[in-house]
Amino acid sequence: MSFRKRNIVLPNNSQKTPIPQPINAGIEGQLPLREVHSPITTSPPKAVQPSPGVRPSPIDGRATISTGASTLDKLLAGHAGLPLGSSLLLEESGTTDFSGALLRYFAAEGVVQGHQVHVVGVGEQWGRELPGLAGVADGNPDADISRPNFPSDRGLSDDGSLNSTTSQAAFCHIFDLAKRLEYPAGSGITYIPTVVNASSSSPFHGILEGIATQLRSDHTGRIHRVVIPNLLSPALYPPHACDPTNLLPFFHGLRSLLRQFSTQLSVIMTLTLDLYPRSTGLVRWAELLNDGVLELTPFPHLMDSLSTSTATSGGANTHEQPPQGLLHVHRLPIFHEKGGGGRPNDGEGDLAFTVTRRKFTIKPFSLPPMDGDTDAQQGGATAVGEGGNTSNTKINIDF
Amino acid sequence: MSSRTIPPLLEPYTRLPPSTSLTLLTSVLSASTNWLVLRYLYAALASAGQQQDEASAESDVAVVLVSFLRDGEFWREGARRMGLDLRRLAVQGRFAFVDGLTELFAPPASQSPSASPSYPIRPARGPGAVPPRGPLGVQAPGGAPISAASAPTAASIPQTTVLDSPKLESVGESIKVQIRRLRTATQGQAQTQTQSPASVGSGLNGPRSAASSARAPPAAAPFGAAPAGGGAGSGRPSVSGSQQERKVLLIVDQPDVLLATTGVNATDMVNWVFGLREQVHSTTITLAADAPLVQSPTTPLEQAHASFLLSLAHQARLTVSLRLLDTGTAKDVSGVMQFTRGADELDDKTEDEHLEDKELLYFIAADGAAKVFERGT
Repeated sequence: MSFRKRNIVLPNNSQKTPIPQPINAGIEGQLPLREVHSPITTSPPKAVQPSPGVRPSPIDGRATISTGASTLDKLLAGHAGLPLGSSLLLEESGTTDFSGALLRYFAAEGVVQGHQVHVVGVGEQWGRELPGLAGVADGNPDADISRPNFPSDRGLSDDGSLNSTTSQAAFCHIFDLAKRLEYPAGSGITYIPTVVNASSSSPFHGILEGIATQLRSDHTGRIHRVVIPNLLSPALYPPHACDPTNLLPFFHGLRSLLRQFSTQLSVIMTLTLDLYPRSTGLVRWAELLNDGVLELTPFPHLMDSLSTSTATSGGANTHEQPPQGLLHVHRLPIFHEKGGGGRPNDGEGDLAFTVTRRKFTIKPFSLPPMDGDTDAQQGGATAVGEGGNTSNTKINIDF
Repeated sequence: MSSRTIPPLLEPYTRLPPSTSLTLLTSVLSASTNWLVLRYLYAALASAGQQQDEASAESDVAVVLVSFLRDGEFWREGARRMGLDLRRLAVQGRFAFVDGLTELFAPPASQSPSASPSYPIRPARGPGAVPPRGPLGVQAPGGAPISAASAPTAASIPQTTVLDSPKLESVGESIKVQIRRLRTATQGQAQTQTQSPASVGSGLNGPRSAASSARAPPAAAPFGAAPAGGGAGSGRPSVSGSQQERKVLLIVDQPDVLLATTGVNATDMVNWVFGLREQVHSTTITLAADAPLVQSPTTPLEQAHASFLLSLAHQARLTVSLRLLDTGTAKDVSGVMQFTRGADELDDKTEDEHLEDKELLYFIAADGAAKVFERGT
């Protein structure tokens, strides 16, 4: 992936210390505190919902947390966040690590919100490379949900600028992959190592034990985010880890913990499809045992030509990054568990993702106009408001 | 109300199946059978739930639900949306839940029962919650913690068994314990009524009486014996309920988890299912039937799964396969359900002519309501 320098106005409070701010579900709608600045809203005795970064789902009110990527939050079947007590399996084919970027957003969001982040299998180096805080994403989620075609939605999410309501506790932040996260005092990441010994015992037993111990010893009700990068990667896991009798009990136990601590725990993990293709029963079982399954399919060779094409096509197109791959939604938390299938989001078919320095964007996919076809490009640009030629334009997903 | 319960087109298939029959429900990754299981639960329990007088209790049906992928709260919540109170039914002895998720592989909670209110689903491990039989490795905790909060008398019945060993023998044995308990549940209910003052009086001693009452019915009325004699001594015997055994319906949700996680032989699994089917009126089993697991199986996991699935499909009186639309996705269709009658059913037209091979579409709304309709309508 390439990070091109762009003319982006830095958000105002990028230097703001990320104080964990309690979000109060009960009074969020009334908003007497909305314009009040953070030193007052963060007064501690707000014990109704003490966890920062938690928001009730607009569908059924269950607690959700942000994945650190606002467009991914919107994708999760209308819950506007990852429901606590659920897991997300990100699969990626090819040698790229786009899903790793999502994992880092997820972990960084947890650090910023004061959640306890557990990283499985990798060393502390992984934690040092978390992306730095660059602002607050789209702090007015209710508007997006209640008014599907909120006009400023595009502007907000595209340039990452802050709107006036960000003084309330932020749910999702923007992170800059080119910066390094500064850890707030008192926060940290615990690293749960994989046991790579030659014994035949399951390498996952210790991981499960570690997570369970951490959760059971925590009586503060903090949110725990478990991050498992590159699951089953031969560099991190011993060969017998991919034995179904080792791996699948781990997923089953993880699922049990997620249900037991359904207000505290969430898990996200990545799996490389080139090593473990989806056509195998093992991977299918891994998918069945997880609550959400997303698959990233990066474009193999298109990426170079597309990036050069936009580089030549001038300033009008700079905010429209070419998509770097397709995103397939195979299963979503809660939604598919209830029995829903088919199309969980009212999107237009295929989805594509774009990773830039600051954002992981998921949009409906449509092929861009051919390079040099300036008529088509301008036609597509002008027809946005009229809706006549929307097949050439990218439409933000609304719910 | 009607949209929340059983769609009319589905109704012929959810009626109480004939004795010893097997119904197989198959799912794929994005078309789960959970909603269908809830409809089967409702069909079996809703009529019984309406009538609470003891005269009608002899004809009603009890359900043992064994779930390996979902916890009790999920099923209670789903049933509650249909107007079915599983807790109350459990108190009445018409429903039992066997939890194959919580402690099957997860490390169990330490012995100190840190009664933090934020862990609602953790089973209470009281001092008296010993295994119902010695070597089984099965614990019968003192009832579902939630039901203990809502209905104090329910705390003395282990309505929920939490499996803590994936071994087929112990899993099967603890399911059978629940089946026997429900079959003779009229006695169990009477015992509850006599025991509940004692357990209330002794304060925190609930789990102990739970374990003792759990052991009592199987010991007093072993399987196959007439249950009337067993219950007569222990409480006021029911007037008519003890005369006839209750029909017990067994629903096993995704037993293929055992196959996948333990690597057990598929033949053993089939025999295991046979053993369970012997104990109940009829059985409903859900399995995953994703293409990687069934088509061209190569690895041992896939081979075992395909073999298990095919064996059960051949035994089944009715197979209901859920899958996604073949032609893509649609906003108002969740998936396709295909009904296939078993081989025996084709010969025997006398009893079940209402069953026919059919393919229907279904749609699950956001609130869990199910709609089943023909193509083109």
